[in-house]
Amino acid sequence: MAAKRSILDHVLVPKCRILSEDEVEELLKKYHLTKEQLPRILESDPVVKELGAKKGDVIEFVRNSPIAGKALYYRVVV
Amino acid sequence: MTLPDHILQQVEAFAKKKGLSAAEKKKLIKAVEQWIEEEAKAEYWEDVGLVAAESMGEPATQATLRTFHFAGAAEVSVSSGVDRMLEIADALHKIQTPSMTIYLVEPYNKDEEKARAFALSIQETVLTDVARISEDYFAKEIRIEFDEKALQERGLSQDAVIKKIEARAKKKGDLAGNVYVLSFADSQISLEKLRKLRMALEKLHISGVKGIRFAVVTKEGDEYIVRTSGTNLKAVLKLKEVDHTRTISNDIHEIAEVLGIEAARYMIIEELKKAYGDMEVDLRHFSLLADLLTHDGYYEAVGRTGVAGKKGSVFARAAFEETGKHLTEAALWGEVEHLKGVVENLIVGLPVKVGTGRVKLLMRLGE
Repeated sequence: MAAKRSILDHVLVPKCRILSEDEVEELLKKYHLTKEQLPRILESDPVVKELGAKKGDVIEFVRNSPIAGKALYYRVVV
Repeated sequence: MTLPDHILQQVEAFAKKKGLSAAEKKKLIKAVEQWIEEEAKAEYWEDVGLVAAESMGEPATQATLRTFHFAGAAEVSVSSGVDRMLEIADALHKIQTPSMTIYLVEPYNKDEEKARAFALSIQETVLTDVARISEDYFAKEIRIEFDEKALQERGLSQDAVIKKIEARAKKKGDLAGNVYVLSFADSQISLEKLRKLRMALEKLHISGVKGIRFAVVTKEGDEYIVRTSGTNLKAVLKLKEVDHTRTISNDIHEIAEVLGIEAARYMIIEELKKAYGDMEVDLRHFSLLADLLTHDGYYEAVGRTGVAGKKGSVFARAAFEETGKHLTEAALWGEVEHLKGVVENLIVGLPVKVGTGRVKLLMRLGE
């Protein structure tokens, strides 16, 4: 086995990253939301573990949607 | 707004075919954008959930209840149709036909022999596959009779299997011909323990990947892939022959566990598409349902234990299932009914607050 295998390489897992605090603020302002209203992702989720995200972080997913092309989706780590 | 890639590609292709100039192309893109803005978007307060439910529910009533279909004798059967739809919507943990599609890396995916060898190597072998177990409780003996042919087929040696048995039973037995006898006559072992040991031995894992009962090689495009009955995604992804970027399982809970909730969402959509087959249902309905099922970070059912049980409204929950429970609990805790949803407004006879029911009119007097 050459390179380390990461689940982030899997076709089913969309590209994702942790948003910085400024970006989170901007996002919440844009959609008039509080963090609690965002869709959730569990702290025990393998993607969260792989990214090293902490509770309260917001993760941005770049979904490849057949309808909208690229769609952004956000989940807050709980 | 910007157009999705696939629409841009279509515009691009159309422009090329018609030989449009850059300015004309720009105009075309603008027209498409405008059309989407005005015509293709859902209206404000449109009841997309209801539309999705109807759009998925109606074809489901038309679908036959046929559970299995076989495409050739060597194919792994996968449940489809209404049964599969229910499995997905109810987020069942034990699905009828767990199955994996394993993609292989080079050179295994081009060489049929190597693919076959791999498929054979991941098939789980338990002791009862290669031997017959019987016990004699009076003599406190467990007799294991090896099936030479089965051993050979699976490429196992008798000694290796015996080693596994000894490790599990923590005892050495005697081999006579192809019969291996574990005798407990001289020990104070209780019959219950003996019985338990026998049960454990029946399921003793000898070789292969746990949970994979059957694996076949099929050809897809120009490469060989392995389809299995029974799943163990976590273990399979670690194998060096496996392409860890494409291999999938149809057990959505397993996907959520191994690849995360976003992957599970994709899988819900894909599996729904498969379950509906050639019945045409718009993807948007599926993705709405998938978003809902994975909203809380884990895969949950539609029913009272999942989405419907989490509704904010008392009436909506009571109207679904367990009416008495919800009403008494609401009374006990002093819940307030805000009458914001669909069901609760139907119950009390008010206009449902979707679409035009949402709009309030004010009359301007004296003009």
